[in-house]
Amino acid sequence: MAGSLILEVEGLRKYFVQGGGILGGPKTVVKAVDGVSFSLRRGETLALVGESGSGKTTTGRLVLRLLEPDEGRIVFNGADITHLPEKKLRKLRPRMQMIYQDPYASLNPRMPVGEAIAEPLIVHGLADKKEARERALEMLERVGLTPAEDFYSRIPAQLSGGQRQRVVIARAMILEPELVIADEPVSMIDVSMRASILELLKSFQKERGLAMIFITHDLSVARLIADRVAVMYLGKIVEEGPVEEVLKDPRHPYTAALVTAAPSIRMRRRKRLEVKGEIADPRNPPPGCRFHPRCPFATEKCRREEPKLEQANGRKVACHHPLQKGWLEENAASH
Amino acid sequence: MGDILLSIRGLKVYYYTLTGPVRAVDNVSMDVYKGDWVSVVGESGSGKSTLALAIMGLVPPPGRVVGGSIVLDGIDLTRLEREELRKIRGSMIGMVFQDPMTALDPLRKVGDQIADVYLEHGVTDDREEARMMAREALEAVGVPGDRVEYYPHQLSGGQRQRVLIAAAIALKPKLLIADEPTTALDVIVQAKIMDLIDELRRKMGMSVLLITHDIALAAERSDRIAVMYAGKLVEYGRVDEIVEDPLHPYTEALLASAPDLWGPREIKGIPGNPPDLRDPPTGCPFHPRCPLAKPVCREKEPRVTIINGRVVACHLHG
Repeated sequence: MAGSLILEVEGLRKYFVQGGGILGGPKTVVKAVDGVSFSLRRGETLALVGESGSGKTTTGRLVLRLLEPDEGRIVFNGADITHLPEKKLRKLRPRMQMIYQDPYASLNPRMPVGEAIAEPLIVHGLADKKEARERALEMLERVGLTPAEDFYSRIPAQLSGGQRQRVVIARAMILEPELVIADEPVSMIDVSMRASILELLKSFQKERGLAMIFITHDLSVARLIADRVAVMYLGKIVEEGPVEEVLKDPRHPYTAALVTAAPSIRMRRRKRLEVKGEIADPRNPPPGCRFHPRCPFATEKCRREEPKLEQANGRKVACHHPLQKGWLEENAASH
Repeated sequence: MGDILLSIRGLKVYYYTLTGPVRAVDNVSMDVYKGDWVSVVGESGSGKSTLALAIMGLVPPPGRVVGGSIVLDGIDLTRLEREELRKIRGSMIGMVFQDPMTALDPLRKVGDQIADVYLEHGVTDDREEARMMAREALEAVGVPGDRVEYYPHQLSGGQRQRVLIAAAIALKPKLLIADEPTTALDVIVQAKIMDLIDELRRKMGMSVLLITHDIALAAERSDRIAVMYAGKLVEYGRVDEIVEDPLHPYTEALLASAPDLWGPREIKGIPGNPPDLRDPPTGCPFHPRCPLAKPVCREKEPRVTIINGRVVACHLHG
C-alpha cells in the first residue's frame, strides 16, 4: 500500500526559551522536540503518540514549517524545505495541510461553512469565486454534508461537532494535499461520531494516496487508522514500528505502560506495567534515558547514558533494556 | 445486594432557556447501593453531568429540579434548604471534577484549602490542627505531606487531582461523585487515580458515582453501569450484563464505538447526530439512530421496565 517516500525528517530539534524578558525572571529552556527522525511514504499513515509534553504537536508544526526548527532537516518530495524562504513556502502550502483538534476554534463562527471550504482555493489563487463555490459544493457532498446547497450557507453554530469536523476536513482536502497532519482530530468529538470521521480520513487517503501524520494521545485510536506508530516521550521517539506489532508486542517499557493502562472492555482484568510518577517537566528532563525515573527496569546505565533509537527487525526502540519478544502476551494478557 | 444509599425517583431537571425548556434530565430513576461503584455513561448532552449536579444541589440557573426525589440515606435532598444542602455536601457527599486547576484557588497553598473543609464543617476550630489533618489527608491519597506548603501550579496534574480527592473525602462521605475526573490526565495517571478512588472506596465503604463518556473505563471499574441518552436513563445493570449482554440498542452501539487495544481493529459509529434537547424526537429519543426501530418507537416513549433485576427503557424489551 505504501508508495514512494514523501517525507524525511532528520534530527529535528526545537527548544523554546521562556522568561528572561523585560520582566526578568529566570530563563528556562523547554526542549520540546529533541532529535526526532522519521520518514513517511505516500498512502501511509504514521501515528505520533504521546501525552501532553511529549512534543508530538510541536513535531507536526515543525514538519509543516509553521515553526522554525533549531536543528535538523525536513525533506518533502525529495527537496530540502528546512530553510525554504516564506515566498517559496507559500507555493508549497496547499500540498501540506493541517487538521486541528478543535472544530470550534478552527472555523470562523460568522462565515458560512461553504465559504470557509471555498476560501483556501481563493487565497492560494487556485480558483475564481464561482469555481471555488462549485468545488466547495462538491466537497460538501463528498464529506457527507448533504444537501450541499443547504449546508453551504449554514454557520458553524448550526452544525454538530462531528459535522464541523467534516467541514474542517473538507477545507483541508479541497486543496488536494499530498501530506496531511491531523492533530487529535477526533478527541473532542462524541464517541458515536468518531468512527465516521476516521472513515472519512481513510477514504481520502485511499482515493488520493495521501500521506498522513496522525497526532494523538490515544493508542487505541492510533491503532484504528495508522500503519505505523511512533511513541514519543519528552521530545524523543522512544519506539517506532508497524502499529499492530508495537501495540501487541511493545519493546519499550513506556509503550507497555501505555498499552496496559488504556481502558479495555475486552481485557478488563489484565496486569498493568506500573511506572512511577508522572511525565517530567520538559524544562528539566532527566539525564540519561528520560524515562528512567519512572521505569521499573532502570539501571545505573539508564541514569547515565541516553539510549539511541536503534533498528532491529523492522522495529526501532530507544531503550537499554528492551522488553523480550512476547512480553505483553505473557505478562499482561494472561493475567 | 446490600442496602440502598442513594435512591433517585422520577428526577426531572430542566434548563429554562430563551428558546424553550431543555430537558437535561427527564424522569430518571435509579438506586445506588452502599459500597458500590456506579458509572453513569453517556455522550455530551446525555444529561449525565446534570444528574451529578442535581444530586449535589448545584444545578446552575436557568436550570431547576422540577420533579422527582433524590433520597440519600433517608433524606430527600430536593427538599432541603440551601444551607442544609451545603452541610450535606462535603460531609455526606464528596465531589471531584474534571479540571482540578479551576476547582483549586491558585493563590492559596493546597494544605490550607484542604484545611478549610475541616474548619467549615466544624471538625475543629483550630487552624493548626486543621493543617495537621490536611497533611494526613494528603498522605492518605499518596501525596507527600510536605506538599501542604505548595501552591496548585507547583503540583503535577495527577497530584492536583489527588489534592481534590483528599478534600472530597476529608469528612469521610458516604458517596463520592466524580465527574470526568481523569479526562485531562494521560492514561497512566488516569489508571492510578482510578486505583486510588477504588482503594478509598473499599477502605471507607463509600459508594462511587463516576460520570464518564468512556464506556471502557466504566466497564473496568464499576459494579454497575447506567447508560444515559438525551436526558433519559436507557439502561442500568450490573457491569457484566451491560458489557456482555446489553439490552438497549444504544448501549450496544456505544460498546461497538469504543476503540479497544485488545479488540478488533475497527469501531462502528452511530449514524445520525445526537438529539437536540430543545426539540427532542417523539417516542423513544434514540429511534432516529436506532437500527432496530419499529413504528411504535416513533410514536410512544418506552416505559422503564425491570427484567430480572435489570432496568431498560426500550420497546424491544417489555
